[in-house]
Amino acid sequence: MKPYRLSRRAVLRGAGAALPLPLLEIMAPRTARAEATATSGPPIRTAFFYIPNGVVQSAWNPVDTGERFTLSPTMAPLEDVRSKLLVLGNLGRVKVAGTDGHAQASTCWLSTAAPDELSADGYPLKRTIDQVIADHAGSDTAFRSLELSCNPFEDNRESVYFDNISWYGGSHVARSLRDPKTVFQRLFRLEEQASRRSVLDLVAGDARALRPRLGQRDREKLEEYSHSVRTVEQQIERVRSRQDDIRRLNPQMPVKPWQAMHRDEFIQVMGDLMILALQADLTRVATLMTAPERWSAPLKVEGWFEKPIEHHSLTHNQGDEGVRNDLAKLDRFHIEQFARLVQKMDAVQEGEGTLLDNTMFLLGSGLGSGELHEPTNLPTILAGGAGGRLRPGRHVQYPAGTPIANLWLTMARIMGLSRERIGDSTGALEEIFG
Amino acid sequence: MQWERRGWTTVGGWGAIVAAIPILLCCAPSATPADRFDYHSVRGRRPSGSTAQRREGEADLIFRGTSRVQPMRGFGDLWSGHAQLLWDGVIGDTMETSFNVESAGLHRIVIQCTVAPDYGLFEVTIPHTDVRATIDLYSTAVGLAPPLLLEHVFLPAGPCEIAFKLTGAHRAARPFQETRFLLGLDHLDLVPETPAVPASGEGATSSQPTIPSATEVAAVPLSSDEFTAASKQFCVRCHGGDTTEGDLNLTSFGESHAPPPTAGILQQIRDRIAYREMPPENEPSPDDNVRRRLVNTLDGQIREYLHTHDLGVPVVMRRLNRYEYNNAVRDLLHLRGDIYPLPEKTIRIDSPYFNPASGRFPDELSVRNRALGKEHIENQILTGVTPFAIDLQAEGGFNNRGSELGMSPVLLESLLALGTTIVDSPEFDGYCGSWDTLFAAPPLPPSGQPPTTLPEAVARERLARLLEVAFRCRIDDELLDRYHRAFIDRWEATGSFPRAMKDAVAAVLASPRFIYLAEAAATAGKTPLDGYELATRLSFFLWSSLPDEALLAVARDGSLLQDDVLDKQVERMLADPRSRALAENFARQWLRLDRMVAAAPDFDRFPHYYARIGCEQWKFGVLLMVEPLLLFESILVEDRSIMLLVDSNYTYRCDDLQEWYGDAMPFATRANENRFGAWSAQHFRRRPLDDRRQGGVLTSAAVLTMTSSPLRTNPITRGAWVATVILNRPPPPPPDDIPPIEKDDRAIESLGLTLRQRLTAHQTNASCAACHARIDPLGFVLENYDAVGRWREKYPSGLEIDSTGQLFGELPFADIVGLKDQLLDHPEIFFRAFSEQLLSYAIGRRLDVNDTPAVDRIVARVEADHGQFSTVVRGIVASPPFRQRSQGATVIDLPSTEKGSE
Repeated sequence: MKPYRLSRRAVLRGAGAALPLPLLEIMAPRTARAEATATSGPPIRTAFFYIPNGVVQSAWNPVDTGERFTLSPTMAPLEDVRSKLLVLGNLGRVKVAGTDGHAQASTCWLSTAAPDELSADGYPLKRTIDQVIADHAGSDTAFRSLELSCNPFEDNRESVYFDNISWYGGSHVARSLRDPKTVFQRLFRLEEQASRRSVLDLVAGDARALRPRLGQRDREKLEEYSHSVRTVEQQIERVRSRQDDIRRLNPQMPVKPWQAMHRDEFIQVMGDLMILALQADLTRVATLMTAPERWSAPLKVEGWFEKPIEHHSLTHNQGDEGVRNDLAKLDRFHIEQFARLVQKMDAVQEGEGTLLDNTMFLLGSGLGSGELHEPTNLPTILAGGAGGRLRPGRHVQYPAGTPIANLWLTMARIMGLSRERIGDSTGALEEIFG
Repeated sequence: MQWERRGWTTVGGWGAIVAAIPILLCCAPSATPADRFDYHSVRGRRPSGSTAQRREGEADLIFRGTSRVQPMRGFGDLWSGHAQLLWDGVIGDTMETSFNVESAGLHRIVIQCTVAPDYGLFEVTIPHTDVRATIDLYSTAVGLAPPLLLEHVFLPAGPCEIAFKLTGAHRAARPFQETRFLLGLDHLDLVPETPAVPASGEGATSSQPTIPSATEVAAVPLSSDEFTAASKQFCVRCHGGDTTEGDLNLTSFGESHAPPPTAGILQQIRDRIAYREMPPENEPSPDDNVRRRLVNTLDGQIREYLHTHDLGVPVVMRRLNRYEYNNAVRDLLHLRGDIYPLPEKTIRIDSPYFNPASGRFPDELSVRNRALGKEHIENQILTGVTPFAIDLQAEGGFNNRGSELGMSPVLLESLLALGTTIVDSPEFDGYCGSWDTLFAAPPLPPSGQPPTTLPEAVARERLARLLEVAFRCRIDDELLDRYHRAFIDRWEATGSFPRAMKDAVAAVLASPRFIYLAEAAATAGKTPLDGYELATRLSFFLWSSLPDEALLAVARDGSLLQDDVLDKQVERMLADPRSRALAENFARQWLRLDRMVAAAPDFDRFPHYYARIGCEQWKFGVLLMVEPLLLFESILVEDRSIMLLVDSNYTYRCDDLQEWYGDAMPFATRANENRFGAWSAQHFRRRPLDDRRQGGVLTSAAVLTMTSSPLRTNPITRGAWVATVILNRPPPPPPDDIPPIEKDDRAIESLGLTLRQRLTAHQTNASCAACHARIDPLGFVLENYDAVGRWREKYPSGLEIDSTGQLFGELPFADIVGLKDQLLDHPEIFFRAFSEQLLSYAIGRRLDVNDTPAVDRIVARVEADHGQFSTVVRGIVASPPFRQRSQGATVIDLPSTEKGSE
């Protein structure tokens, strides 16, 4: 696919939901700083694209395996990028009794805990794989990781467990940003942060002085603060060295408030920001949640459904054919959003290939189907080539019961970590390599 | 026994993780309206004093040593307040307590104790008097002792000590825990004898109970043999040996040599039995009497466990949420208003109306409502100042729980940005009430003269004051030096005193000392809070903000730790308009009112819900949300009974809202463009209600709408809401195999079925049915209200509505008024649920079984005052969980889920 070149001003306006082409501004000549700096080629990036509440299984599974597979109806929007995909079937997780199926779906999907390793919160929840990868891959980028959410709900009805897929540890959430303007400012308005250096020194001193007075649990709580101080300090240093690149990139602030965006605009604008950050090598790890788990509130999906729909309750009524069709349509909507972002990544020229070729961009959900909260046959599509290490364009079926942790292990190794095991993994997924 | 509600027997309520609703094993006739207490009569900033002559053991007497509350419902109806003071000791020990005497003089004292098989022989003395009496509290059955009369006792005004020395025991008495004997003190009546002895003791005789007959003494705990036999018969069959259903093994349960299960396990077992969830239907079950005695026995075991272990539960240091942060910055810098707009502030004050000191909530007030929808974004207050992300409510709780309030680089960046953008916003200087005393450069001395105080010294002194308020602690030199040095550096760099001070303040606003409620480590088990820590808990409880100068003054000198000083502060703070935070922050979350925001009744089915078709931002919901909050505020301001939240004979509505509740289709005559006003200030008026299908929060259209789906009501969601909010017994997480159900009630009714019949047909397996039997009736009883909260006699198709049901499978009701009656007749259910939730909010953590004794004591006081709001607050503030910090054992918080879903 040839790179598109769009007007610089067109990007991030949030107006382009109806445009057939990707919104992302292409900065072909200046992308991937690493291209110039590293001799071993562009860096590999990892990004996760989460869809809540599972999918309609009967419309999900492709026909045939290997290279000659046929995309399922739900995956139809991916036809153009079929050659860049690995569709992985039958990966799953072990459900833990006693906690809510949906909270577990979001919270434990990327967890590196084994199913019997319960955290203080009652979930098998440990530092999630994106954060584990960031420990390594984020060690010299401006931002060690990026957590984004297109949660459109303002009614606060669910707890933190339904609203986040990225966790630093057991009960320490890496809260996502859900306002594109805030994301933009965080990524690209760094001079303001730098001016806060002296403040950082003072508050770090306060934390040090406070620590000895506290009990053990409160010290752990305070460590979240101290750790954040150290991270922000580093960020300021690293960002300073990237000022020129960012200035040249000259991205434009999204103008439309997120509350006013249509569903697809919201996801695309957030996706654009993520791609920009990956492209400019401001970070190499990102998660994007399209919507939170459960959250049984009606939601408008403009252009797809005439009336607001409740994703969660649809999943429990999919025995009805009409409902199932609606639900499959919503799945297709999410796939289309993913497909558009995949295409945008593939339009960013980078070295001999594209950004997509140097990325692992994974679509998934914490539930196979929302109907029974089953975490088996999780929808899993890995787009991209990981710098030539993967051989995409295939559909691979694993034996039932293959832990999705095997995929996390595989991705972690590709990102340069030497891990024998992650959670309940039983080995890397050798089949996906090129 | 004037406060006694007759005719219902239950075992004392037990507060665990969720609440403890007393079990109701004897179905008693409901009170008739004539003898039902009128909760509307409760009003005033102090308890009415009508109980002045009675001192309840469980509520009014001071607890020392092993004294604790024992609910007595399980033993019959004879105990006033349905509870007593329980104490135990070895022979030679003394139970000491004290009570308050209002005026000096001769008194007649009537002491009402309890008799039981393991109670001792006591010598009663009152120091500085010649009172010396002996009572033997042994009896083969549990009952009330003959009242002990002490006459012509001269007592000075003020606290009066009284001692019960355990001198021995009846030879047939069975020791408690092998070496100990118990004392139960129900109440003590004081009758002034001066100037003349009243006619044959009016007050005393009316309160003298008769000695109970054997049949009245119900629910005596099982003997240890009986208990072992019962558990073998009813529990161990499935929970023992090789079959340990639910991973619960009770093989040696009840056998004396076996280590007792923890209180948490006991509590779960107790609740399962009490709520008839166990044994399951197809297994042998105990009859009502045995069941009641089993529960009573378990209650005793739980109490003893807690009493001997006495574990405190630690509070995890909590970070301010964005509501608290706003208030704290506003009060620290004396700003004229908020620093940023918050969508979660439901009511926007148009002109000030909230003045608790007046003791009167106005009959008419003008408010605006929150912004909502796509084109209605909140405008900034201070340019460039935006709030950080909202913290979500914990499952079954509030968004102020330390364990869930994390910190991350993103959030720290927000806090750093807030600190600087607040002081740098163009509006700040004029918005700040402490400009002259904090930021302004000190005035220059007349020309040529040396300044009396150097600006550096002025800055240091100002910083010392600021830091004490901001950090709520004594400021040591090290801390002050650092901030002072930072100030000097910036002053030298910029040459501007205000600039340097702004930079120092920006750091304060992002400091961990400011944004965390940090308390020093508990040194041993439990440690009382120090003055600053207590002041901080208090101000964040009542104001969601920092302590003010008056509170800091008593924190600084430690006098806040004295009960009377603390009580005065509570009274002062409740009378301060800042106490409105209890409505804005607590009540909104308690009611889950934010859910209203996402409610989306179908455009075509309920066009009157929208000011114009498809126009989302003008939903009627923004007006509906105001009503229950104003009811709450009126209770707070007028210090009324919290029972009005269940059933009130007044409410606050604007005209459009009043029309909503009318029989006719609302706004029928108005054009599609402008059905109702929601974008300008609305005049809300107090409206008397004579229809008990309205009033209280339960039947507010807000609650009924936000628990419905677009095309029909949702009885399970409604039932789960009632169980969570009104009863504080959130249902367990829904199972995975939820059967499908039509989303439109028309589709269901076209089959000739009501929603209730359709849902009931779905509960195919026993485990679904058992749980739904508890939740669903609380939703079905609301079926007379449609999906936008309007009354209907029948379903639209003409099918009859069946709203009958039972509360806890025991208390029958025919309709919503019947359910309200049951809640009024068993007030401890709601009093306990509400008290637990407010306590959990006050201390920022989940409650667990270890908090039960404290909750018992709070509820005893609340019951005695018929639910007066300030009594709930006072009870909480006086309770050990609020006043102590604790190391605690490792507590694993298992998140439970409160949602009911189909």
